[in-house]
Order: sequence, then C-alpha cells, then structure tokens
Amino acid sequence: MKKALVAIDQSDISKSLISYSFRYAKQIGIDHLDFIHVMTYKDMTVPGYVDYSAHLDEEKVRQELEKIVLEGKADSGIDSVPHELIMTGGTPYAEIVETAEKNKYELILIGHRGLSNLERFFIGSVAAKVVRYAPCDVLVHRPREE
Amino acid sequence: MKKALVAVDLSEISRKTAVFAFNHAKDLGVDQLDFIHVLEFRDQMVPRMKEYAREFDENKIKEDILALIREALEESSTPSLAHNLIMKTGSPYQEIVRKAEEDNYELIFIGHRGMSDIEEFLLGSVAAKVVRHAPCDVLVHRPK
Repeated sequence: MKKALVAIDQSDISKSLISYSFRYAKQIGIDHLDFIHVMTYKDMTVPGYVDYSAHLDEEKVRQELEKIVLEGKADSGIDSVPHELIMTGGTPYAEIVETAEKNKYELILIGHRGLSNLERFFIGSVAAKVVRYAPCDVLVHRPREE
Repeated sequence: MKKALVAVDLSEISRKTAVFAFNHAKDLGVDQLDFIHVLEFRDQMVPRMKEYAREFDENKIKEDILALIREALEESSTPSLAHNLIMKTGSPYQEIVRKAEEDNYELIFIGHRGMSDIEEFLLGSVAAKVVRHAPCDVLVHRPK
C-alpha cells in the first residue's frame, strides 16, 4: 500500500496543501494519507511566527486540525482516500523526518510558508530542512500568488 | 497547457528523476516537460567535485543530456510526451528559479542531490535552494 505523509499546521497554506494532497493522491495512486502536526514549544518570539503558548490545549488543537482536514477534503472533492491525523511534539522538521523514516512513505507533502527574504536568510524553512534529511520524495507545495 | 520544469545534470539521480517525471506527468495533467540544464563555471577546486573544465565542450554536454532524456523516456512507462531541453549558464538554483518565474510552470521536478556531492553536503543542495526560492510547487525526488 502506498502512503504519503502530509505535514500541516493551521496556516492558510496548509489548508491549500490538504486539498492539494487529496487531489494529488488520487491522481498519482496514493492509497492513504497520514497528516502530521508537530507542536513546538519556544520561548523566543519571531515576528510572524505562529506558535503555541506553554499552556496549550492539545485536544483543542487536534479538533481544529481535524476540522481543517475535513474542510480540505470537501474542497478537493475526493472522498476515496482514507486518512489519519498524527499529533506529535518537538522540532517540526526532525519529527517529520523521523516519522517518515519509521514508516514507509512514498512521499512527504509540505507547504512553503513563503517567508520574507530576511526570515529565509536567518532561519531557513522547515521545508528546506525536510528536503535535506527526508528518506523519500518530498513535494513542497507553494500556491502561485494571484 | 500545463508544463513542468525538470532540472537535470548528468548524475544518476537526475536520470531517475527524468524517468519519474515522464512516469507521472500524465497523471498530474502535465502535457509538456521542459528539461533545464545549467552550465556552471568555478575557479575553486573542491575535492571530488565533478565540475566542467574551463574549456568544456558545450555541444557535447548538450548531446549527453539529450541522450539521458531519451534513455529516461525509454525506461519510463510513457510512450511519448512533448519535451525539450533548455541550456543555461550560471548558478544552477538561480537559473532554475528564474526560468520558473518567467514561465508558468505547474511544478518543478528535481533530484535531491546533483553531481557535486561534497559541496552539496556542506552548503545544502541545489534542491533545498530551489525549494526556498521557487514560485511554484517543487517535487524533490529521492530514489529508494
């Protein structure tokens, strides 16, 4: 069975990614989608960086993500691809790569946040790090700016 | 018409990426593949870096790349698909991104690592740089 891992958060780009993932799975013959969300805990505040406070409500985050996944699925019009949501904590790129290593995934799908040049220079994107360390194909989704 | 850009050099990973692109183009509704190869010139010598000499034969390289594309099409499960080769000179990731910005590509296909293994290990791969700067979707192929 061919499975793909889809890295998501609550950003707009993730919403686009979810819908894209269902369509892509159908087109290319992926039988199952595992959505993964990594909760990070950080002290520093980077402008534009959406993060969780130290006392986050994990259950609430899960419910919101499940809702986003179902909305994306409805938007894609693809009802035939089974899916699951995996919640984990830690450094996003490391957790994504580790999950991909433990299971046999055909592909990782991840969104590109479209960072500013300055942010890109200093911190690099999670997508670029996943590309560097992933054991399988990686599709980085970046919707064209209208 | 939907087009995809496929970044290639003469590495084995590039050949496999080309096969992969031919195999999946139709599934993704892509009607044409534009292959792009960027000739790069450097002064510094990095050990094991397979780079072109200053007096390289551009026509020879183009022929070799065309042969690689032909082999990839034969190896793929696709009987035929419109494709062509674009040759550029400069910094690989910049030229790939520039081409993607100029034309409306659905997707860029690229291998996770190209010809210069050591350099890419130290500085990050062309693929990672393309991912950071590309204006569209990027599929980074890593053959098993």
